[in-house]
Amino acid sequence: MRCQKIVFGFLFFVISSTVFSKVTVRIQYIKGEVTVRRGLEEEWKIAKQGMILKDVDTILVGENSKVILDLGDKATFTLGSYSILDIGDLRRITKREMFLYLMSLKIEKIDRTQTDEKIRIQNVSVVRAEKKNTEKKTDMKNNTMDYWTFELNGAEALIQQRYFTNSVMKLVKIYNHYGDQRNPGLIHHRLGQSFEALYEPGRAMESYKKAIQLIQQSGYQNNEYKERFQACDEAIQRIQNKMKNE
Amino acid sequence: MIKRIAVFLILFFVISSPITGQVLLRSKGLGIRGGIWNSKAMGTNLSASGDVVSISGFGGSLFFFSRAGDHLFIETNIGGMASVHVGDDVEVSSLTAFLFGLRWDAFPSRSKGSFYPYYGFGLGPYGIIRTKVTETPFDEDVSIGSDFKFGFYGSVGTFLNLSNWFAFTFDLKYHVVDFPKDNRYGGVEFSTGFCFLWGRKRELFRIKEIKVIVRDIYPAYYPFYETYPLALVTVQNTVPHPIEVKVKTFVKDYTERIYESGFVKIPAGETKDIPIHALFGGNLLHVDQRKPAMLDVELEARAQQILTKSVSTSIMIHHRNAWNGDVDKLGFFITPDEDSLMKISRSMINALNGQSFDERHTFLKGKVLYQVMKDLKIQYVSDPNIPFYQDDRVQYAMETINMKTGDCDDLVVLYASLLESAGIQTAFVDVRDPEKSLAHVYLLFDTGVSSEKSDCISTNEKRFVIRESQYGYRSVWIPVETTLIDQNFEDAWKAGALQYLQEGILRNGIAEGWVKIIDVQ
Repeated sequence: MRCQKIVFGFLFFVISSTVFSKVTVRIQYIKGEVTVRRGLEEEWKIAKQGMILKDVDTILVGENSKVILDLGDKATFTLGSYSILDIGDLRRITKREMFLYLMSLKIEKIDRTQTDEKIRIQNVSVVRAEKKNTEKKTDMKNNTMDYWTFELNGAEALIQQRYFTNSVMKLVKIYNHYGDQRNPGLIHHRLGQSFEALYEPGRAMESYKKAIQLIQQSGYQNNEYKERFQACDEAIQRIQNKMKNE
Repeated sequence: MIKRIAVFLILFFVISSPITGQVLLRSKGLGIRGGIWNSKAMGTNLSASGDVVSISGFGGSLFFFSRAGDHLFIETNIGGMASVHVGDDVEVSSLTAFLFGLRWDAFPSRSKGSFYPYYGFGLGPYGIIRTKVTETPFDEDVSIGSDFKFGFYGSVGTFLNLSNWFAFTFDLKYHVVDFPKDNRYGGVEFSTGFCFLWGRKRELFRIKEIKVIVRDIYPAYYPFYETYPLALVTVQNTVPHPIEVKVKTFVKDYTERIYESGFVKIPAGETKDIPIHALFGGNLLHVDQRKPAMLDVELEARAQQILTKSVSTSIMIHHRNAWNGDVDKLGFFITPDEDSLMKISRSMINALNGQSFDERHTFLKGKVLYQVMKDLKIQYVSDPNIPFYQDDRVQYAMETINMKTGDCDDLVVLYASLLESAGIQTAFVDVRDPEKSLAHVYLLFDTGVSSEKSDCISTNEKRFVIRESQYGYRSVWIPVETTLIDQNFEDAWKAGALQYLQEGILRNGIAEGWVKIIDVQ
């Protein structure tokens, strides 16, 4: 009986996921190279104006390009060059959901203390710190992209357009997937900004401090890192002053 | 002569104590004592000279005691002493006492061996009868006098238990009679005697209750019960000194040997919960129908002696394939070490090893093993409807292979067993969707590929799950919907990934707790 329910439910789920998705958007405006990847597909397809996208879809904006998404209720979202966004990242996320997600990540660490013999360190790639490549390359024909940069730009678009809870979850996902080696402190700087905008001074300070720590560990002295370091430091001061005044 | 008697008595006490040592005093006793009573009125005297015989201060008593508390007894004494003077006149005096008193064990926590020292006090009436027969030239003059006085006593003494039912007694009392007016009949009484004992021994501990934690035993979980208690037995120490209690448990026909807890110390007067475990063996896996069984518990306490008590409680042994629906217990059905299964998985893996080894190797193994499962032509079916029995049933991997049918739990177990036998880490995804009142389970397996190299698995990150180990290593895990056993790996992978995306991420199932990932241990 249980499994009949499961099969029926699974079929219902598969159907509903293709028809009754919670977030659906329409491509209102396209400029330049914009592609779409449907659900779990691997291939990117050229996006067209008027296309309906569901929460399982992903949109990618290439060089010198732009897309405006119609979210309904006269709301729109703009995605600029060199960015990737999952349509599901545009769903309304409450603060509570955001914090639950953050907590679940902390809890969801695999406990392997009882199965130490099964630990296998496979081809762990150590990402050596290197200078940031300011040229954001995309080669859609050959399908080689710096996904990290594109994802981060997508997260920044969320911040700019005040989807702060969404940006927090996006940034955390990026960090979990790629780590922080490519641009030390950037993700945590952005997290700090998002938390600050959400009036979460404690978490904002934590993120800024982490960003400073990562920048210091990286040992880089170029202007971008110095500016980021300073920005984080100023942000910490700002938050501390605000807390004192309150 | 007296020296020999004294030496004999000393040797007797020394030898008898360890022989009959550590016997607890029974609750009732009846005995007699005989001794000497040195009062001012009568004194103690034993003399015979010519026609004059004088005996005084000797007597005896009959006593009875009954336990009123752990170390408290109520004692009744009926006795007395007499004085006889035979000369020109005959004078007979007697002092009879009918006494009620209380007696306490003197050193209950330190009583080792058979001695039970005590102290006590009592009170009651003392009857005095004086008879004097005076010979006259013509007749005998008889005068009788009597008197009743009230008095009390204090006593110390000891019992020397020779067995559970017999003891010697040595008693020293000081009587105060008719105080404060006149204490002529008071004085020291020293007596010895013996008594017969019967009734309940004093308890070292009491079993207050057994709280059963696990009443339903699922054979597949048998390793789990070695560390998880089946019940808690609440034991109260009823003596004013610490005791140590050991618990032994056994379930007839199902446990291979008796489980012993080891001695647990319980301080004086305190209560402790002692966990009860059972060492179920592989014979539990042969249970083919649900049956009741008895969990026999024997408690052994040691303080001055060993005391045992037994108690039993009923439990239910379920069918070997029974499963209570807890996904975190589903792992007990996974049998990666089964020979037949390992042969199946390894023969396919060996074929794969001929290909180049790269970081996708584990992922490819998982894909091949799914194909293996598909090629076994197992048909997906739902569980039978078993009336009056709510438990689900899960087949072990080889059972599913042999029967060629299985439901979602069976197929998840089969695939997980194949993967684990090839050394691939797996996890169940347990979904309890609150909106649909549905529960289902599918599988994740670890490709071992670092998250930063996820592109070699898929460029679409929605197709996999990044999980971080406690050591900080982030790797790519693949979700697989095993009920699509008649379809290829790609479809099963897509279906699993889509479920995870929709339920776990977009509907916040992971964060809210109704989608759980449970690692197979």
